[in-house]
Amino acid sequence: MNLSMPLAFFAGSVCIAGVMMIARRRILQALLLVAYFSLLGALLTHEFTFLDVVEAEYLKADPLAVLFLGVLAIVGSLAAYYGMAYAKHRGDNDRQVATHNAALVLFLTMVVGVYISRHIGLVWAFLEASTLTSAILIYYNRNKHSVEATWKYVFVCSIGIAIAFAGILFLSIASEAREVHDLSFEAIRITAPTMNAGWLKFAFLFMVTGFSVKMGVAPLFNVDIDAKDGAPSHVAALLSSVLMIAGFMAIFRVYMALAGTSILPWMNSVLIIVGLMSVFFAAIYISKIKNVKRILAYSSLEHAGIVLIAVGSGAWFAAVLHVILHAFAKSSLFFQYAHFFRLYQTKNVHSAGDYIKHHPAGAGVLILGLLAITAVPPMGTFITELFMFKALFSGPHAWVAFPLFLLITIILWGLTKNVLSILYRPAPSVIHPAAPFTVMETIPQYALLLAVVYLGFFAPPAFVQFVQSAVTFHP
Amino acid sequence: MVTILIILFVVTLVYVSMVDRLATFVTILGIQGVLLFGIAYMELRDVDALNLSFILAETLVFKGIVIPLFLHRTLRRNKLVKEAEPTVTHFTSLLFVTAIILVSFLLAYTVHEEHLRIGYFTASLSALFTGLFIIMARTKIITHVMGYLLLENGIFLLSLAVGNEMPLAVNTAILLDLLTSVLLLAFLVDKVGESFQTVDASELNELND
Repeated sequence: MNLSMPLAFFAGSVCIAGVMMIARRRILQALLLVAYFSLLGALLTHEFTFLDVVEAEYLKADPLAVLFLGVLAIVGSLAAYYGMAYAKHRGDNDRQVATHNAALVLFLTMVVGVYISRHIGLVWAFLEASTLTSAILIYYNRNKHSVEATWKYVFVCSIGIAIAFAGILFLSIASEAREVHDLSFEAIRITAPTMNAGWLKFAFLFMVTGFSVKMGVAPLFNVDIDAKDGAPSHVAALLSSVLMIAGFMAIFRVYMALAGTSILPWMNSVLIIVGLMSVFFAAIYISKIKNVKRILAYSSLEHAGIVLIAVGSGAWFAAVLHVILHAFAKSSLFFQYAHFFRLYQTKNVHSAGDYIKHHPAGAGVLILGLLAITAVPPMGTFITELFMFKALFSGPHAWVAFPLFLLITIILWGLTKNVLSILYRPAPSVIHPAAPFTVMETIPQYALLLAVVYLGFFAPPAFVQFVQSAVTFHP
Repeated sequence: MVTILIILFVVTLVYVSMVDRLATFVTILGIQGVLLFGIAYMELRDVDALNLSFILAETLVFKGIVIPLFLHRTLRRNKLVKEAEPTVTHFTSLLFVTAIILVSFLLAYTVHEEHLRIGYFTASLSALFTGLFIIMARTKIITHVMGYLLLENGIFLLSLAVGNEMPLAVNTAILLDLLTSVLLLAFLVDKVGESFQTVDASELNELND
């Protein structure tokens, strides 16, 4: 196979997005989406075959990138499917749908770019491009909520990403002093141990702050919550999964590149503090708010925080697996939220009820999803959180485990209370006679949740080995 | 000569802190673009022609002409003239920005890295923090965009101070992103104006818990 496959993928995606804007009939849109995901599948196969091969100078897919590409292909294609269903139920016009699909294709392509770039500047550029394309997705409904969410999201992301760029420049100050002009992750990893630790700390701090807005962790998490609230639910699913992974990837790549230096313990402390802060804010909000979509968004904040704590405590395997499992669980729940809204036409927990009677299949998703995001067995998230706690106890930050455990318990209580209320409380408002839910609509949601069980408890050894190779540090 | 340009750049920052008319603010941003063009031109004369023309396009064409024109258009469309009620008075802003410049200067001196030029470093940190200050102190979202542009200019200077050239492919991507983000932000200012009948950031509170 030709080695410039990634470039072909980028060119092909742009072409597909362009054609989407012209060929606006629904059937053509569906065909084009199929074409795009076939192309993505081809890229995935190619990258899996040519692991760790540098292509087009700046691109390289390591096992971590391939893993995340797989998640992107699954969640992305489902989001496209639910996006079409969403538009159909609402009777949106062809132009709106075409713009949305084109933006979706470009957004996913930019995120692919983040995953497979080996140059820090390029990661930055792709992340910013993902912000710009996601803006079109968030703006979909063109009402006050979506305008506000889009404005805040684009603005704060731009500020955040600018701060991250300053971090990259600090890193290059450190590398210039060592006469190194190459800012690829490999080059940084090799020379970082000889660089000035002060500049590296500055660089890391600025990059974590800047990329935090993309991953959806403290300190810049507010706009992520607003974006997930203002966007259609399948877009919120993407923000909570593939985009969170993109932000994680950026932070994790920098972290790994600097992991061989003397600042490793300091970086661990930073990540643990950021993670703990995120879980703290999530606990506070989840226990008091009633907006279902925001509750789900704050739960993403919690999990992003947990992932960073896992990285900081050295449980890298658990961190990577957790971010994948969370992507599946949370997107399943966001897809289910679309059904919830179709039934009650409200986001408020108190205006809903008797879900188990009105939509039993959906209620099943809600229950399993609750187990997944509260890390209850048999969900795989239980395993990953267990690994995280284990690593935390055996490391220098053991004390963190106690407040963390308390906060997770508060979140468990808050989430369970709200979900039970949705399921069993007598519904106070009139149920809207929505179109009946077909079985097909819930099957993908169940499949995602089953994957959370499977990958946690019954993961094939080959998969475990692959994840392990993704997090192995090569000094 | 470069030093004079850098000093002029810092002076524009001081001026920005006291500006009331938004159109003047936009013009100052344009002037900063031209100043950055001059600084980059003198600094980078010996780099290869492609990279140079690229950086010149970024400063002179985009920062100096395209973006200011676009912002002027946004101001006209939304009938924006002045920052209505600055939450911070001119005098306090002036004090703040002066303090920022002073602190940046001291910081640049204490860092003392031989590869780092103090003049550039001071100016870039000052612009960065002034941008953040403007974003926090002003209420109109269009002013926030301008604060963001100040911050961007600071980062551009910082990249000159560092002297590390990103590969051309990466540079192109970065430039495209920045340009699109500014155009998108200006477009969103229009949309916010249409939906909310105001471009006051404090009125943007439809989304809450």
